[in-house]
Amino acid sequence: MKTTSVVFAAILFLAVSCKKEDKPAPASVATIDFLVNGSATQGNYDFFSFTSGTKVAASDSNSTKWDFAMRFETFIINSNASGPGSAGVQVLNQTFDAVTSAPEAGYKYDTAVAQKAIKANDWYIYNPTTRSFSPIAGKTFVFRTVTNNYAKLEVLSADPADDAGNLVVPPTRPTKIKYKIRFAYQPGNTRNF
Amino acid sequence: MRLLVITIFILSSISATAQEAIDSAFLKSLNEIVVTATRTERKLGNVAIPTQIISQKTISLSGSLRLNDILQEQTGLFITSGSGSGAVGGGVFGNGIQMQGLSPDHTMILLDGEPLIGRQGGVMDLSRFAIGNIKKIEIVKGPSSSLYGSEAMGGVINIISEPLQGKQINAGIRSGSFLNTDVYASGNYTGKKAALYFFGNRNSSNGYELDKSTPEKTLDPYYNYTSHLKFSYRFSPKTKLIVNNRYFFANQESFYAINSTKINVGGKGTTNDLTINPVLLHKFNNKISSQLRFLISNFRFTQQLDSITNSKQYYYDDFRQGFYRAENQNDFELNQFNTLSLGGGYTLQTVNTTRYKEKKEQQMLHAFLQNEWHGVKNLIVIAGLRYDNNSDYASRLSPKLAVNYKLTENIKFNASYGAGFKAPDFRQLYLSFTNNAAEGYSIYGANEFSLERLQLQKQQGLIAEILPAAFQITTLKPEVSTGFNFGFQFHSLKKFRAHVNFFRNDIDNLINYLPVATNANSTSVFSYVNINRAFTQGVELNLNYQLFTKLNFSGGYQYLETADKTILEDVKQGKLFGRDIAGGSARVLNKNDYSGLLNRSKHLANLRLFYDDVKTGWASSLRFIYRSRFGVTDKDGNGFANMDEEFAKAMLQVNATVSKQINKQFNVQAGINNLFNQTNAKYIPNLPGIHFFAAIHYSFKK
Repeated sequence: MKTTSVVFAAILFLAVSCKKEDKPAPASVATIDFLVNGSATQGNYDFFSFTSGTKVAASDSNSTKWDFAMRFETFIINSNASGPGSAGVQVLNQTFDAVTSAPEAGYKYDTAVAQKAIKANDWYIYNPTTRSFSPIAGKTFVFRTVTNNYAKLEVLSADPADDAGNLVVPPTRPTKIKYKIRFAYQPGNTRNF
Repeated sequence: MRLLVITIFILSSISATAQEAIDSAFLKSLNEIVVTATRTERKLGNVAIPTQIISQKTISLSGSLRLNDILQEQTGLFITSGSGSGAVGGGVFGNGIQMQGLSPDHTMILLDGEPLIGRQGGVMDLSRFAIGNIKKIEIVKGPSSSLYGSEAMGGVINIISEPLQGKQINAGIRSGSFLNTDVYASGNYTGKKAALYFFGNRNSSNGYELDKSTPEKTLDPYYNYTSHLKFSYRFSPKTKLIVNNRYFFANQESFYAINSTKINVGGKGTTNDLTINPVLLHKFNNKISSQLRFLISNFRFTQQLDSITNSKQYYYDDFRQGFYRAENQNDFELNQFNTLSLGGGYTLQTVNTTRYKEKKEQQMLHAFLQNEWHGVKNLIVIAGLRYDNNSDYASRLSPKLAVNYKLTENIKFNASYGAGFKAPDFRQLYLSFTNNAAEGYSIYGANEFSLERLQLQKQQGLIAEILPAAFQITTLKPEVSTGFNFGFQFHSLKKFRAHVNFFRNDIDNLINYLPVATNANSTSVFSYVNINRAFTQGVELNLNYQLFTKLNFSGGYQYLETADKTILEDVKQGKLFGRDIAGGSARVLNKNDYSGLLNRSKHLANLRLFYDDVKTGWASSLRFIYRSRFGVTDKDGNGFANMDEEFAKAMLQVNATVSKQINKQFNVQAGINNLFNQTNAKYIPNLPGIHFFAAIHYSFKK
């Protein structure tokens, strides 16, 4: 799976590079697994940085080393109530590929603990009957990162998993949620991806 | 291989007994009296509304025991099985029925013309009904609320019990796979003025397992009892009282492995269902008759689950429903052209459950009027109107217009228009539930929802945001539909009959739950609103061919298209997205990706052979029932099934029986159901794998 993602990323990278030769810097695209705390109420969030493209230790939570973090299905953004940074986010109703440049304005922040930038119904559906939640297709998150760059992200899947990241089915109780995310990060001084 | 043997058996029986006789039973069927379509006795051939009859003969030849067994073999009927959700889904309570693509909660089920109660999640579990006590089942398709009120949107299924006539005693025992045992006894006594019918049945099973990877059985052991007692007394040639009494008791065990690989929670659920239905019939003269009907019906379902390790109570649910109705109907033969029916009634419904705050009560008044007009030769026109007034939701007017035109002796045309409605059900009005497990969501019925409470909770910081939908929550309106049916019947050579019916149903005000607020922990608060609009349309074809006196061949097919109108509109405009595989990237969907409402098969088909030789006493049946794949879930948030894994696969069920009348009293029967062992543990849990049975019946007639 990882190989596929890397190859996929490489192809995309090439595709993007070929097309936009005259533009400043191409966005790097990757698809990764992001394993987060599966409890809705207890324990740490799991933090992520677009600059490094990896998880950030929870001990760095009070820094600007991360852009967003997740716990169960809750997103927090490194801003105001959630962190010292000034990252912002908005969710667009477009496919990942259709978002070719980040909007100039419209970014939201975690203005208070109970007023988070990303809300439950923004990006997933919860089915009270089957008690499952699924990321809605066609929701693309656009971030203005802590470093004032732009990134776009698509949640591809969300599955209950154990601590090692192996998927679990009932009756095994999941301790983690394994997200598969695809993102593009634009390190250059442009809003284009 | 087994199929081959049976086919050879049937074919050899045919050649051995081939006769070129013309069957009169076939013609008789057109003259059969039906009551459901017009609430008056009419010949089947003269009913302007699509009506089908399932005869006792068909039921006994098929070896069916419960209502769902026989209904699933009829054209255009689809048994739902505990998957899907929401107002346009299948419901989670299994064994419900869809008609013309409308959900189980939109189909009315009657016993001798009176509504049956005890729906859970909108679904009437058809396996509650034994069918050893019935004479026939009438199925009327299309909206029929003009006569029956709420729930009769997709149509009406009327179970007609044994008539009070003759003197006889019947008894039987049947045993089969999964230790399924069915025992019954019934009898009739008819005196000069009084008549009595009784029926008693016990049905039990050890349950079955379709998925060995789970510690739970797919169906846990159960047993149930049905008793039916009918009594009539003729006061005079003009006045008669019939008292219909039915009692059902079921005990269903349940075992679960909760967060464990072993069974750790278990208990039982009991169902008690009692109906007393006195009907007083009076004929004033040849032209005016009247009936006074009372219905006292109580339903109770209790389930208690305890931890097996420490005996602590894990779950308790108690649901009690009461339904009390008084109704009067009068039929007038005004003149040679007009027959008028006029009626009205009062209904009190109560519900009391652990899931609602307190006992709830609803009162309803209704009145209906119907006229049948024969003013022009070969033409019948039926016009009807019903008014329903309710204490807890908006009132409703339901019209109906139906036309039957006889073109030639062999060809008849039918056209009908009707309105249907379904009152908001109890959970949509009164549910008050907070899930304290990890997700922590809340769901409120529209009458329990309070914007003020949400606003207060927002001030307290418990609610992060009140969504715009919260301001739309208002008095729920009934779900409504209008339906058009157009068809024709053709019969020739007294042997062949074809019936084609085109239908279209437009459904509005469908009730669904919506998120109305976001909790501080990002979970949602839900409530119910009239939101969805949908349609179902298609064509149903039924063919019947009496090959020889002894062999009847029938085939049926339904083509069905359904859509949620908002979703269809959005898909057409390229506003909806989906994935082709789980975890794949999203793409814009187009019209071809839209599969319609969940739990609907586009193609339903059946092929049935019935062989019955009265002379030798041999009888046999072979039935093929096919349903094409159907959407069961939505995993990518667009509201419908588009990826392969969101569908249940197509399925072909094959059932066969053979029976022999040994002498006047004894009949033996053996059967195989689901010959090809087609199962789907996840999405069709109510269909067991291949199973067998053997039965012996005794009948003594005086």
